Amino acid sequence: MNKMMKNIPNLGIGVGLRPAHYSEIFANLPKIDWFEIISENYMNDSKPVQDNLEKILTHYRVVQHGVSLSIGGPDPIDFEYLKKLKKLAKKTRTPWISDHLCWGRVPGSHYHDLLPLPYTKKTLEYVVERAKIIQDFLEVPFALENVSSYASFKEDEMEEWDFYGEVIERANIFMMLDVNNIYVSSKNHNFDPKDYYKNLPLERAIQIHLAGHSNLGDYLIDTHDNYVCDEVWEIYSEVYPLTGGVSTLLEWDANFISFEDTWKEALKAKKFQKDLNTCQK
Amino acid sequence: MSKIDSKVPIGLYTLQKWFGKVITTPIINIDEKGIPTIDDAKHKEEAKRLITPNKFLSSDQRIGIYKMQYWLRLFELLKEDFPFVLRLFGNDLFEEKIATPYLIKYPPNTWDLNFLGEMLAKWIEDNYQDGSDKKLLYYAAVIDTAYFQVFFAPEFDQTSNISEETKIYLQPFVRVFELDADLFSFREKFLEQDPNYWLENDFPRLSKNKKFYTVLYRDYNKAKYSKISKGEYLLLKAFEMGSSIEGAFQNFPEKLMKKADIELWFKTWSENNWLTNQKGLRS
Repeated sequence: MNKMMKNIPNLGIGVGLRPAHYSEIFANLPKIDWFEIISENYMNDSKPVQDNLEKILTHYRVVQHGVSLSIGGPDPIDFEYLKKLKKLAKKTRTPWISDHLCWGRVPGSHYHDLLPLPYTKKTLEYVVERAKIIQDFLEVPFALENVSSYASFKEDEMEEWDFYGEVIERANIFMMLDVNNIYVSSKNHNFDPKDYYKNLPLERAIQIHLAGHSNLGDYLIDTHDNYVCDEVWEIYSEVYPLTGGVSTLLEWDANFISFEDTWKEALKAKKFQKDLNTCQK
Repeated sequence: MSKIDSKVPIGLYTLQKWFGKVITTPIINIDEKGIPTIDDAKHKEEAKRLITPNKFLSSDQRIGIYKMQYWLRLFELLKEDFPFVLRLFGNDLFEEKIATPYLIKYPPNTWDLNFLGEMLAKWIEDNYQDGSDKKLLYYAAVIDTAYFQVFFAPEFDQTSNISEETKIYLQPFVRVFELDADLFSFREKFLEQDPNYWLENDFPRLSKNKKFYTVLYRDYNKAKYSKISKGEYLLLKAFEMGSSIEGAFQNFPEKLMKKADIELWFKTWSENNWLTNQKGLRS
């Protein structure tokens, strides 16, 4: 693991690439550290889509993040999908590939959502085996992200963080930690965010996600359409030094603001990285 | 029956099938917290057995959030892909009369959402019963579909080494239409207003009573349309199916030949890379 970790760079601070910002990005070529793309948006033959990606790759480092792997789904691993993912990875030269610790389809139906898994020993075994197969097939470091959830199951046998940490360690893969998701789930399931991240093998974290969410009173929804709230920045400031300093990315997917302002929001992360800098001195 | 992973725990698979069934059941009512209700008594009972409530939300409200997410996400995608159809109904009626029954018949079954609405025109033709102007609705769906197909289509290499017998195809990012009304101009005016605007205002004037020939094509990052002559339409239509130049002219009406500027047409098509030797997706 240490050997693999050494090869994984800290890319600095990045932003999720979204078509709403193309014109601003192509016109100004802003100096940003890196972009994350949603893999599925580029796994097609559309010329405009591929041309835009080429333009981005000419100027920026790109990392792939997927939403459709359905690692905990009941259907067989979709190797046709993985082949397309791998083909895209050759083009983007992504240093790692990530997706979510969830499920999203059953044979014949695709729900296009990041649905929660029951945290049982049997589910754990199942996901670990599939994660190993996927990691081997992709041949680039593979990371799983914790999701925001709105429901949990009565059959759960362990805490989410224990399940997540065990999947990462036993499959020998990496962690893509979404600190906004920790916060959203902590409110929806009434736990202390500290219990979550203090019980994770954070040495396996290779990337952190930041995002905004919607507070609907009795529950929070992970909408990626808002500024990062103070509580999430606080979690980030505590988690970041514990990871040893990893690539950080802001996701913004709806109610877009200008790219310039999105980048300013992402850059706030620097302010919260000071603890690590202090430690390193 | 579709295959499942041989190692999936049976309890997990059972739970997932149930979860999927609950969230894909259409939204009928919304509760006071803005969450769709679980109306099926059996689903409600099972939710109580399977999902942990918290101090703010009951078991069925918690799975109801996922039901809301499923439907709203797909509604938004269909609204984005079908702006013409959307404006014929406005937001609420589009969801009720079009999107919901369509998604029941054609739920998403792949990870690629770019073609979620690809069967909408067929669904309208086969199933839509309400309203008087089914023909307008059908063509609105056909045209909206063509817009996103043209955007996502690949581009093949340009024609080369052409002899009279070489089979030529229209690039997948070019589509031709022969319509009884000027629906492309109508759509353009229609889209200038928000989806609900047309619920309270008269539709734009729709020119009818003659044939309208139109080519829809991709130009850099945008799908655009142009009016064309009947002659251009007939030749491009022949190439859409795949034809040699000789073949395309075999049934070309003589009276159109007199008005045709064939050399200019081919020059324009060639400059725009509309023709290819590679068999297209619709040939």
